[in-house]
Amino acid sequence: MNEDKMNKNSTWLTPQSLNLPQNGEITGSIAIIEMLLALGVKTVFGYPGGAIMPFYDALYDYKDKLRHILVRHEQGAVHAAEGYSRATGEIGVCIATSGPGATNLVTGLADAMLDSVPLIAITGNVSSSLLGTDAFQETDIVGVTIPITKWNHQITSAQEVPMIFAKAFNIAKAGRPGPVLIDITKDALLSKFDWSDIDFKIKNREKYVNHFSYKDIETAAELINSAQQPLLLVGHGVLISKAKQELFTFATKTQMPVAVTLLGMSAFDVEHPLYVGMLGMHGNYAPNIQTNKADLIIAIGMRFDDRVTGMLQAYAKQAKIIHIDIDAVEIGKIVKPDVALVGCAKEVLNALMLKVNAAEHTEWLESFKSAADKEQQAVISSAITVDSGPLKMSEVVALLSEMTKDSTIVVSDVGQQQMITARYYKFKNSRNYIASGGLGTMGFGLPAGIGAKIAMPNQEVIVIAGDGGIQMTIQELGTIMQEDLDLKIIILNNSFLGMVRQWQELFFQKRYSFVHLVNPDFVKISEAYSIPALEVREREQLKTAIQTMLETPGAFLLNVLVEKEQNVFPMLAVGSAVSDIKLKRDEF
Amino acid sequence: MKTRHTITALAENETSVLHRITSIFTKRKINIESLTAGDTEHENISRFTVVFSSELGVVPQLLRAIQKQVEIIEAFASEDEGLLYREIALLCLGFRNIEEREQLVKIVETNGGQVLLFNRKSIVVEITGGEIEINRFRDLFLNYKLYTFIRSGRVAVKKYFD
Repeated sequence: MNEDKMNKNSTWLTPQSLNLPQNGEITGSIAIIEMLLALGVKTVFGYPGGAIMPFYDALYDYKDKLRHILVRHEQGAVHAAEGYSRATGEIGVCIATSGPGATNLVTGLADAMLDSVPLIAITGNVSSSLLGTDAFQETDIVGVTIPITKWNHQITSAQEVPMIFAKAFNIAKAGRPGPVLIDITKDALLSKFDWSDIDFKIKNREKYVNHFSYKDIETAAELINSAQQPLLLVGHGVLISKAKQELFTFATKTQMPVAVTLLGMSAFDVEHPLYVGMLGMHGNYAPNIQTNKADLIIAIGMRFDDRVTGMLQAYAKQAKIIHIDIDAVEIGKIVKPDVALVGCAKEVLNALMLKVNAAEHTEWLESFKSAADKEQQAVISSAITVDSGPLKMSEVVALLSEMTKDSTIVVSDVGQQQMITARYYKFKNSRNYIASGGLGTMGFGLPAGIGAKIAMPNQEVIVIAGDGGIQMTIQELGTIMQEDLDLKIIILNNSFLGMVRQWQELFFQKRYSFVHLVNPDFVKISEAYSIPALEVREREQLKTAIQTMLETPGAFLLNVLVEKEQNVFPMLAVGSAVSDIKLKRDEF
Repeated sequence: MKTRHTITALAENETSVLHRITSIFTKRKINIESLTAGDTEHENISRFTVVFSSELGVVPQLLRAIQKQVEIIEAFASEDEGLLYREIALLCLGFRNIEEREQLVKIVETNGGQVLLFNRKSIVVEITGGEIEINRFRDLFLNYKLYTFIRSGRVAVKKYFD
């Protein structure tokens, strides 16, 4: 949604504040399209079917105004909408029919809910007279999606469309963003109403997101000014609230080390001296170890996920904690803060900036460097500089990072390659790393990459997936072909469900239970979709292959055969303290 | 240690609100002991009163999760001490003869209940009160035939508004 389309200064949203210009009689279907256009939507991802057909019929006349991307499966539509949103910060829109169309959105909605992605999912449903009769392709999708949407609503009368869409768009983006599902019955899509009858007044929720007091700011600033060993933990909230600059100013003034969560990746330049790495299970050694040495932790827009905290009873017990989050529900949910600042990260940081003193933490920062050196020697050097033996996932990602521009958007799937990508790609710009964090959805990568590419056609977009994850949504190669998208795809192929295999190796006595994959010829599959492809088996081929991929106009797929049993290290075993993160296999 | 809590919420009267509130409890595997929904002094606004037992530490987070829902206008949580609350129960009691009927009526009337209906072989009785009072009232009829015992959820109001 374009911010200029929705008047943020207004306390109330009305047809006038939204500039709804229409007059005359229209159908519910046309009203949806007009509302999408009025709210600034340019692209939607969808899949037609019985109940949603009146909408698609109306869309036929709007082909030049609203771009519709026909996916191959509704899960592709919702992940593409997520990718679109993650790349831009705008609302992603996906459309499906009733029944199976709607239920195929469920995984993506749950993913968007956990990762705070603003989405609008529009589903058709059977005519209102048939609701509750188990009619063909009827599902109570509102009931199904209640726990995985920020809000949802079923429209049974065309006249509701303008108000519900205005409300839905406002809710999806206000405060902590999230997915909103609008279900609309077929009769509401077909029936007509007159625009001039439309009148509504709904609360603009974007006006009510900050709840911190200046007393709390002062208390927080006192803690910050007296801290000797402070540590900033940066999450997705910094990117969502577009606070990268404020974070940079704050961190450089206070000279605090900055660690990021998986989704906070790209909120701080990874090559800046204050950057100390990624937190969590496969994060960097230094920020994990130092979490239990810091005297102050400032967590911004992150939610102390169990993959970040490890064993909670041994997490940062020595530290004072300042928790900044826009969602009050996150405060004290996992870690009880000494000071809670509920509000938009940008505004909280701006308020704090006025009260914090410039500081030096030279020794403290040095201690991160020595921990980082330890990781460099034990893990990183041998992961990215390899002379012999099979190709390692890490060296592929490190080389890709060297060969691509800073503006490149990397979308990863879920699993070992996701952790490797987060660890070894050097992210510098905001929103350049897109991955499924909270839900850990395999199959996310390819369709999310499609969404990101459509949102950012002038930026290089590269999908990195494993041989397992790619096959969960591989049908979306058809979407890439049909839309002629310039999307690059790298499969890090080890013929294993690698992350599960790693756990089976380390914690289940190497009993490899159903993790070996007999794979198809990915190059042939790709070529069948008219997407040129190459297979890379040898280290010597790698650089040229990446070069070819980057220089070939249009889509390209690289199937890179990598070491079958490479493990991702460091690793924090489930139930261990962050300070017990292991650097090597033999430490377990 | 689990203690008894009541969350009272004012909500816009929408079809899915009840489901949204209960799903917040379901997600955390907290069993709802009673739930009452009804009209309020405001048009199109309902009040939900949810009673549950949980660890005290869970309550603020649970309350904020409810407050966050789009349709919720306001919500507060309280332990029993902070509330004035009532439930209503209906009992259908059987009798074999006139003497037994008279005994029942006497017990009902001397213990704050009210007979609503006389049938040929039973009476329907109402009692209003706190949870303990209602339990005590029910137990008065242990030696009689209790056909049905129907109990409402709790309605509650904060003891102090100022």
